[in-house]
Amino acid sequence: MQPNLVQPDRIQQLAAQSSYIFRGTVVRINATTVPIIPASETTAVVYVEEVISGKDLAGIVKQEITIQMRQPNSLQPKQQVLFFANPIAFGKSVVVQEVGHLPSEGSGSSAGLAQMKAELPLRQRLAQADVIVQARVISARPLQKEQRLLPSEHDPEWAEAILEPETTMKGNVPKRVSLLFPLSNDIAWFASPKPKAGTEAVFLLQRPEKSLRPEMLRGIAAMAATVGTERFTALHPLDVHPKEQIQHIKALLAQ
Amino acid sequence: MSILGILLRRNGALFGMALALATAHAQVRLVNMIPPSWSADINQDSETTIAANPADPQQLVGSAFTWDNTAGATTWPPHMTGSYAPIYVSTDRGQTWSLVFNVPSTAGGTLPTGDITMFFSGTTLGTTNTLYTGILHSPAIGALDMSVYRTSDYRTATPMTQLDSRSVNVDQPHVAAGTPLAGNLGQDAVFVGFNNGYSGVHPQSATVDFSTNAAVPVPVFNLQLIESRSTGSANQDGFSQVPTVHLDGTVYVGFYGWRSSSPSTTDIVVVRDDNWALGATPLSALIDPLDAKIGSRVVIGTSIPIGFLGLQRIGSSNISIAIDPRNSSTVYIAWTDLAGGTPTVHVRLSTDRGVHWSTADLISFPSALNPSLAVNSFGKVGLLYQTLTGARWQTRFVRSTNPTATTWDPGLTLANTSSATPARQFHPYLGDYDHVRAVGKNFIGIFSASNYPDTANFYPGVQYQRYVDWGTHQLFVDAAHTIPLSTIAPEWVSIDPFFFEVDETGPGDDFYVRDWIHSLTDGDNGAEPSTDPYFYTASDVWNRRGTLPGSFPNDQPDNEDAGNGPLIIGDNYAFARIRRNAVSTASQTVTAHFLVSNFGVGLPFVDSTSGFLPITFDPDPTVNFAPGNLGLLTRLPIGTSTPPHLPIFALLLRSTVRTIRMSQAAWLAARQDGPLPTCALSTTTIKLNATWVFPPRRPGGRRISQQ
Repeated sequence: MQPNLVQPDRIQQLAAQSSYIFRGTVVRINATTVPIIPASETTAVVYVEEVISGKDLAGIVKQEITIQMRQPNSLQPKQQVLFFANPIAFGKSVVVQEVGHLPSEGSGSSAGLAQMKAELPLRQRLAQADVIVQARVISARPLQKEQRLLPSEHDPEWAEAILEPETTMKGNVPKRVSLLFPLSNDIAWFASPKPKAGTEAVFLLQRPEKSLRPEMLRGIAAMAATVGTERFTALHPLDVHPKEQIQHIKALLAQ
Repeated sequence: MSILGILLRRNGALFGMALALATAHAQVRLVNMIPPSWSADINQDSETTIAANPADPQQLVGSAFTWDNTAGATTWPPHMTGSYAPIYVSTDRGQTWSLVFNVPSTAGGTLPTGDITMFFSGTTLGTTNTLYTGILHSPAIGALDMSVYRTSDYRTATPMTQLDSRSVNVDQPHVAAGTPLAGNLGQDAVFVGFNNGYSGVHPQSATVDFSTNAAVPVPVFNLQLIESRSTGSANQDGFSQVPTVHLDGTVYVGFYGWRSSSPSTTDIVVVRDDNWALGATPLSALIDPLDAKIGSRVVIGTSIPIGFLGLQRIGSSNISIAIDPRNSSTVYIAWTDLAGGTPTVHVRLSTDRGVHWSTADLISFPSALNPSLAVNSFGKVGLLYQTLTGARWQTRFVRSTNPTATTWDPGLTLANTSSATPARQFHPYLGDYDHVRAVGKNFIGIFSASNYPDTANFYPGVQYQRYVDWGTHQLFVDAAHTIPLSTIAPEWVSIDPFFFEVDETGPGDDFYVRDWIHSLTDGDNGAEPSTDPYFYTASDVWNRRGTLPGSFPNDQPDNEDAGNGPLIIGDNYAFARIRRNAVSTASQTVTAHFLVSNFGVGLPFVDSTSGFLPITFDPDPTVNFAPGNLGLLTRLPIGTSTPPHLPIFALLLRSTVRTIRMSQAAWLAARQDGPLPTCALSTTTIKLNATWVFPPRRPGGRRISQQ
C-alpha cells in the first residue's frame, strides 16, 4: 500500500475493534517473548516505537512484545507497522492479538489517530441517544424504596432528577423531563452520572424501555416517581457532559 | 507433622502407609500479583478468589475486579476497552502471575465483571484441568446476569464457554466443582450457589444452579431452591450461598437465611447432599433436629450484617464453609454478623455431617469480615479474615492447633495497611470476599490490600512483581524506573490482589514417597498431588521377587512381574523410594505406616490396625535420614490377608489424603487370566498366583487427586 492511501473508514473500523493502537517495527517473525505462547508462523516479536492509544502499553515503549498475527507470515522483519490490537496476556512481557495492521507511513498523524480513537465511544453514545439536550437540573431526589426491603449490594438506589431543557440537539422533549439515575456506588453503578440540583449540562438521554430491563422498569414503576413527566435515563458515564462541551457535541452530531 | 503415605489396594480395599515426622516451622510467601507489564495499573482490584488445579498445583488462577486496561476504573469514563476481562494465571505456584484475557465482558462497558469465583474440576477436556467460573456478567451497564463458564485451558486467551445463564436480580455466584472417584466416574459435578431474585423477586432466593455432568459439550444445569423456611419481612435470603464438595460425593452449602427486616435477623443455614446431587431431591439430606425442615441451622436469629467497616461494606458475602478432606462428616463454617453491633467473624464445627453444630464459637474476631476457611490434609483449619484495627486494615491468617480446632495459633499478619488510602473508587473497597484454599498440607490464599510500597505494611519477604522501589516507596511504570507511576496518576496508590502460601513444613522436613521418574533429570518432586498424569508407568513403587531392590537403569527401578505360584514362587516384595527436596541440619527418622480404606466407595482412610479389613501388617519400617540425605530406599511392610483376598492386587500412592502425606499415586494391578487363582500366604510376604502388570489405565479410570 502506498503512503497516504489508507482509507479513513478502514482506520476507524480497525480502531473500533481494538484496545491498542501503536507503531512498531517487526524484529523477528516466528518468534515469541513469552513461554506460554510458543513461536509459530502466526507470532512475531515487535519493537514498540510509539503508543497512540492504550496507556497500559506505556511501560513497554522501546521494548519488545509478541504479536499474534491474524494471518500467518503476514509480517516481515524490519517492517514498520501501525498495529491495531487487543490484549492476550500481560506478564513479564506482553502478548497482543492483532486486529489488523497498516503501513506506519501514510496512516495519519498519531495525534489525529489518538483523537479519533478517543472519540469513538462518544460517537456511539450520540448515535444511541433518543434525545440530546442542554438542560438545567431543577431538582434531584432519591426515589422511595419499599420500606420492608433490606439493602442489596447491586441495588441501583434509583433517584430522579427533573431537567429543564434549554437547547435540544436531537429528538423532541417537553419543557420538563424526568431523568432516572442510580445513586449506588456499587461496581455495577458507580460509573453512572449522578446529577445534582443546579447543574447545567449536556444530557444524552435514552428512554427507559430501551436502556432498562423489564424487571427494573417494574421496580421503578412501583416507586413514587414524578407523575406526568416523560422519563429518560442517562446511565453511561458519557451520557452527561459539562455544558462547555456543547459545541464539540454539536460538531460531532453534524458529522 | 509431615507424613508420607502409600496406599495398597487389594480386593477393592485401599491401604495407606504414612510416614510421620516432627512438626516443623511454616514458611510464608506473599506476592503482589500485578504483573510487571501491568505496572501502570491504578484500578481498585478488589474482591479476590483463587483456585488450584488438583492435577498440578503449580497451576493457580486468581481473579479480582480487574479491568482490561490499567486505568479502566479511574479514568473518565470508566470503561472496558475490549470484550474480555482478565484472570490472573500462574504456572509456578504463585511465584509469578500473568493476566490472561478470557472472561467474557463487554467492550465499552463500565465494569469487567461483577462477582466472580472459580474452581477446577478433576476432568481434563483440554490441556489443563477444566476451570469453571461463575460470574455476574453485564451486557454494558446496570443489570447483571449470573453466568457459568468453563475453559479447557485457563492459561490461554480463548474465550471461556458459556454453560448457563440466569437473570433478574441475581447475585453472588460461588462455584465449587468435583469429579467423582467412583459411580459417576469422570463426570464433573458443578455447584453454583447464588442469590436468585433478591429484593423480593423470589421471597426465598437461596438457590444452587448445578450440573451433575458439566464436562459434556452441552451440560444441563438445574436450579435447586435450598431455603425451606419463610424469609418473613426480609422477603429474600441474604448474600451469599457458598457450596463446598468432598470427593466422596458430599456437598454442603452454607447461606444466610434471612428472617426479618425489622429487626434484621438471619439464620445461618447449611444444606447437604450425600451423592453429588444425583438423587431426586438434591441438597435435602440435612434435616434440622429442631423444626424437621431441610437445612440445619447453625445459629438462629442472629443479626444481619449491614453497614460499613471503614470503607468496606459488610454483609454482601461473608460466609465460608470447608470440609475436612479426611472425613466428610467434619465440616466448619464461618460467617460475619453484627454481634453487639460490631461486625464479628465466627467459626463453628459439626462432626456429624452438619446435623449438630458447636454451640460456642471455636474462634471469633470483632471488627472483622471476609472470613474464608480451608482444612488441609492434616485436618488443620485455616481462617483468613480482614479486620479494621484503629486506622489500619489488617489481613490475618490463623490456624487451628488441636484436632477439634478449639485452640489456634497467634496468627500471621499478612498485610497491615492504611484504612483511609487509597480512596474508594467503588463498592466493594476490599471486596465482599477473599479466599483461602488447602492444597495438600499447605494453604494458599488471595486478598486485596493497599499497594503502598512499604515493607512494614506486609509480612516479611513480600514480593512485588510490578516495578517498585521499596527504599523511596515508589511504584514505577517501567523496568528502568524512569517513569514513576505518580507522574501519570496523582492517585497512584491503589488496591491490588495479593497471593500467599503457608507451607506447613519446610523442604528439609517434607518427606514424600517418590512416585515416578522418567529419566535422570525428570522425576517426582513431591508436589501434591502428583504433577505427572501417567505416573504409574514409571512408578517408584515396584515389585521384586526377592528381598533386594534390583538395579536402576536411568534412575528407574526395575520392576519384576510378581511371582505367581505356590510357596516361594509366590513371594513378592514391594519397594519404594522416600525423598525430600532439601537437606536438614539434623538426622531425622521417618516411619512408614499403613492406612486402609475401601477404595471407590468414599470411606475415609483409617488406621491399618483398626481391624477395618482382615489384614495384618508387619511392624512399621523406619528410614533414618542423615542431615545430608535427600532420598532413601525402603522395602515396604508386607501384609498378611486372610484368604481368599487376592484376585486383585494394587498398590497406590496418593496425595492429600487425610492426615497422611501421600504425595503421589501409583498403581499395580493384577490381571486375571483364566480361572480364579488360589493363593497362599505367609506371615511376611504376600504370595500371589496372579500376574501383576502395570495397566495403561484402570478401566474407566483417571487420575486420583483431591483439592
